[in-house]
Amino acid sequence: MESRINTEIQSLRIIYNRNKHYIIPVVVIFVSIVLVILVVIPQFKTLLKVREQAKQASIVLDRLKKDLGVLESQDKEILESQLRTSNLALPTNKEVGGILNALYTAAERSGVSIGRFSFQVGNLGSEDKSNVKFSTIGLSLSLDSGILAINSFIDIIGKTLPISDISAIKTDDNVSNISLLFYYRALPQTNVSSRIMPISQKNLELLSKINDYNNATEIALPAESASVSAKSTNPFLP
Amino acid sequence: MNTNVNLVLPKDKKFLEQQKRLIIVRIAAIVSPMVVGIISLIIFLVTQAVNPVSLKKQQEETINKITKLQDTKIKLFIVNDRLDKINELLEKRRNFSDDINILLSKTPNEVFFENLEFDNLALLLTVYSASLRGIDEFINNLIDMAEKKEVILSLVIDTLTFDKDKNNYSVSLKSKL
Repeated sequence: MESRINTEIQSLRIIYNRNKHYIIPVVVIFVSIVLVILVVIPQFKTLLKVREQAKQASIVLDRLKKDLGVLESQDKEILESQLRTSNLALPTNKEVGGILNALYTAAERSGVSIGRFSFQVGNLGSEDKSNVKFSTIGLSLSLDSGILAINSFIDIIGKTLPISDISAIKTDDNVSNISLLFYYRALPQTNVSSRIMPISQKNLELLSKINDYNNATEIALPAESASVSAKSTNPFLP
Repeated sequence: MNTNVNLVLPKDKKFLEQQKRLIIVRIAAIVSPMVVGIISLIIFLVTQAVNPVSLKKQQEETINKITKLQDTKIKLFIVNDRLDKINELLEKRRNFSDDINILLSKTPNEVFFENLEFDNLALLLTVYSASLRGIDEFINNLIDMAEKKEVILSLVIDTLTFDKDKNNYSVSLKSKL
């Protein structure tokens, strides 16, 4: 038994003596491999991640610079005027005065006589309508005129601010009834991270178009009756 | 006596191969940590070079400049929003004035409107004339318009009456818009 153990020890010693020169290099190579797995590969993954972050940051920076460029290129006075015009066309709340002005301007210019009218104004209290696309004020209007004058009235009211839409017309020889909708839109909620877009060519053309519309709100409100005859002047005019 | 005796043991092929292998392993042992170190260093340097910290700093500076122009930003946002919505409204708005003008242009002189009702879906109208030919011409014009989908899409004659007292023909028509 003892001789067998001795033989095995001898064998191991022979194997050791034959391979002892390999031990340190193999350990070093093994450690290098372990370093590749534990250090280099994670480091490479980090590099890819950082590169992606840098790419994203670069995109965001480009976007921000473009946004800044758009803001810096705005003429404050022109922008103010554009804001005023767009708010006249589509008011932020129920502008009953503006609507009446529009009606009487159109009536005066088309030579029709406004009879009775009624508003469906709705709640005058403050409601959160920032997410509502459009809100409307309905108006039923009776005009003491025939089809030709009504046609002229429709044409003019369509080109008068604030923007309106006719939902129904009923006319006979002498009396006509028109249902109109006047639109308004609450100020939208601005998103801080939203892109800043310059006013598009299409919208600039629209601005130029609505600038040519009759701006009824520039006329002073009347102090007296709201009923006018066909020949009378606009009651909102001095 | 043999004088040709080699006292140095000949190195056999196997021994030489072992030596060669040992040299290769030793070289690998020296080179591998160096390669690992160099690769790690290069990756570190590249990571530092592409680090977005400077970009983030520039972002912050740009955001600060934008914040100073917040008032302009909000005004521009509102103008764009309003104009988009106005465009939407004007595009969907029906031009009744044009419709009436077209209708009037198709109406013969001897035909007169008694009643006209328009909404976004339908047109109801009643016309009268002393001349049946005028009424016929008007109806034919409307049929032509309906076929061309000009203002009206269909045409239905509701009634055609003759008023003896007024000596007038009267026709009521219904159309889809």
